[in-house]
Amino acid sequence: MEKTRSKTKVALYGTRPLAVLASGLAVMLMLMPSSYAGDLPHSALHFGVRCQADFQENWDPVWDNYGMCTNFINTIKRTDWVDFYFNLHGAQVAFVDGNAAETCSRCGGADSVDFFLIATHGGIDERQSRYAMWDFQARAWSGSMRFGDTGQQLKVFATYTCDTLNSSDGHLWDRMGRAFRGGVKLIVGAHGSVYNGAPQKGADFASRMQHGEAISTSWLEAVWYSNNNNRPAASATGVNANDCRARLDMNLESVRTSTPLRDGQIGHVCWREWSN
Amino acid sequence: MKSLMAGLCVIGSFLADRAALSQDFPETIAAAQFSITQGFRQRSLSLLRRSNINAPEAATAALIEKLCFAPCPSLRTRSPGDLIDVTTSSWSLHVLADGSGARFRDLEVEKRAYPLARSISQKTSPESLVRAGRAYIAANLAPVIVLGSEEELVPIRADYRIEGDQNLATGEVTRSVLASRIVFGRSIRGVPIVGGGSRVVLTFTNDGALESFQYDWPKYETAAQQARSLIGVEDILGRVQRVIGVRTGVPLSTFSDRGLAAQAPNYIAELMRGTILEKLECGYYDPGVPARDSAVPIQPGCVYQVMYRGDEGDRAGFSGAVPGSTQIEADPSWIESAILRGSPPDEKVIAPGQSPAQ
Repeated sequence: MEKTRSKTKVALYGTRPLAVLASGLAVMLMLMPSSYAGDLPHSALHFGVRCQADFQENWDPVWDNYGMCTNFINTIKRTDWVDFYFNLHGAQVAFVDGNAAETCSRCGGADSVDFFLIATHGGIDERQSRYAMWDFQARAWSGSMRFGDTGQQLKVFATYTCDTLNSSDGHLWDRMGRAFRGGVKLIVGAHGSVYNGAPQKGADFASRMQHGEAISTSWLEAVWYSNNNNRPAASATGVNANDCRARLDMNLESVRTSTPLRDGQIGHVCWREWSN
Repeated sequence: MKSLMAGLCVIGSFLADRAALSQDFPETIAAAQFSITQGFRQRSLSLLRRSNINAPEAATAALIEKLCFAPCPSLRTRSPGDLIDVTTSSWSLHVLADGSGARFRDLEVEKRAYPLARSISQKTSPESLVRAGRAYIAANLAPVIVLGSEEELVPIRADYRIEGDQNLATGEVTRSVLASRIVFGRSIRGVPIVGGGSRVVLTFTNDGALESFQYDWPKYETAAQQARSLIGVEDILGRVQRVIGVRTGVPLSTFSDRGLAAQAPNYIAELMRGTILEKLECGYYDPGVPARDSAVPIQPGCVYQVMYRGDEGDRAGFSGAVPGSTQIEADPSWIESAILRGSPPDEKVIAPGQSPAQ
């Protein structure tokens, strides 16, 4: 297991009371990922996780997603680096193209890691997808995103939010194209509703990836099996249709080694989803 | 109840039209409609206890016999944590350590899925999937998918794996179906098992080959305790409101009277402004191995799906289950049970910290 960069890591052990842990990142430790037989051999990636359950002045209702996030981190940290686990207080800037926070790890910036997971409320309009922040009526907007061409060059943007990868209205690229044009290789999310509860999906998603399943398949299966009414989706870009489909099958190793496609190099966007 | 019945009358024909578009099976839709309007069909139900049909080694051996034809390629077996993993170069099988569940994936069949892609209008019908699923279970999973007396294997829903592509130069969009999935559940003396337990899920490519299966299929026995009296639908809906209030942080005083309306394929109930109960399914509640405490009996319960939609269209779904009996058994792994009993849930979660830069 190659370790590409030394970094202070967050200890995420145990079952201590929420109130104590909610006060912040109390314990900082160095933690070396280690693999089990049967794991996909891969160079450890840097993961960032940002989840938000409650919202300022209850502007959006509480959405208990910390179980999923905890389980994801506790599983993926066995093989990969978890650089941060932050809430979404004041977080909008961390998703804005050109803002210094975007590439700043201590700011929880999207382009400061290889793989970013966010869980919060979501929504769409014709031109943008939006992700609720903690701050009163603040959102991160896909029209301000450009992932993958600065800092650590984000490779996977995973979003446990409703609707943000909706493709049925023909506007997927209108909404997510700006984010993709920076070279991010995979965006996984939902094309319709996703439900909270069933926190084991976080561990399932991580362990499937560790076992070598494609990242998109891992997401689709973990989210669908946790609740058959969830509507997971995964999307990628490619030079052409075949290239795009092949890139949907990237795993934790190939997503690091494959060439990023930016701006005019992108000829196609493609997606895969479970639907009824 | 008056508003509830008035709502039902108004929307009947609309519902019938839209239900045909759903890939939920008619029995599934009917059960959900009954649950949200009437609750349980019974006045009382016994508690159940989960046990295993097979030891994990026996389940693994029975599955390998069916999955690996002679000459069977070399098998690699290992036991990490709570699994038995068996892999070959072309497939993988994971069996839960208690033998009640397994997951199989055929990599060769999966690779064939794309060349077999079809237009969505040519997707395999739900009825064909039921036939294919029943045939596969009978031929290959009979040692592990065992029905007890007065138990039935019930088709619940069909789902489809769709792939889409857009040529950004021309704007042309193509969509195709690559695989189809059938979900079966179980009923015991007509009472469905709701939640993630008692499920068999089979995925087929368009040539009818099995790409994957996953099941959670224990043996149920009646627990020694007395039968539990069940609550009525108004009390069930009241429990849903109460737990949603706790889970969303919204005071109960802001909740609406619960009038029912129609939204295909089910009736819905508005719990508060912008928050609706989309679906309710009552039966025995078994959330499946990963989510349950094996020492606690299976209780009657109702699985709910609630959807919040904010003023600007932000959405978030809430799912879970409320206990359905008057007397709620202690179950620390069932968050709603803990909320309604006033005891702290057994949550092993860690809240994120705030970025030091913000």
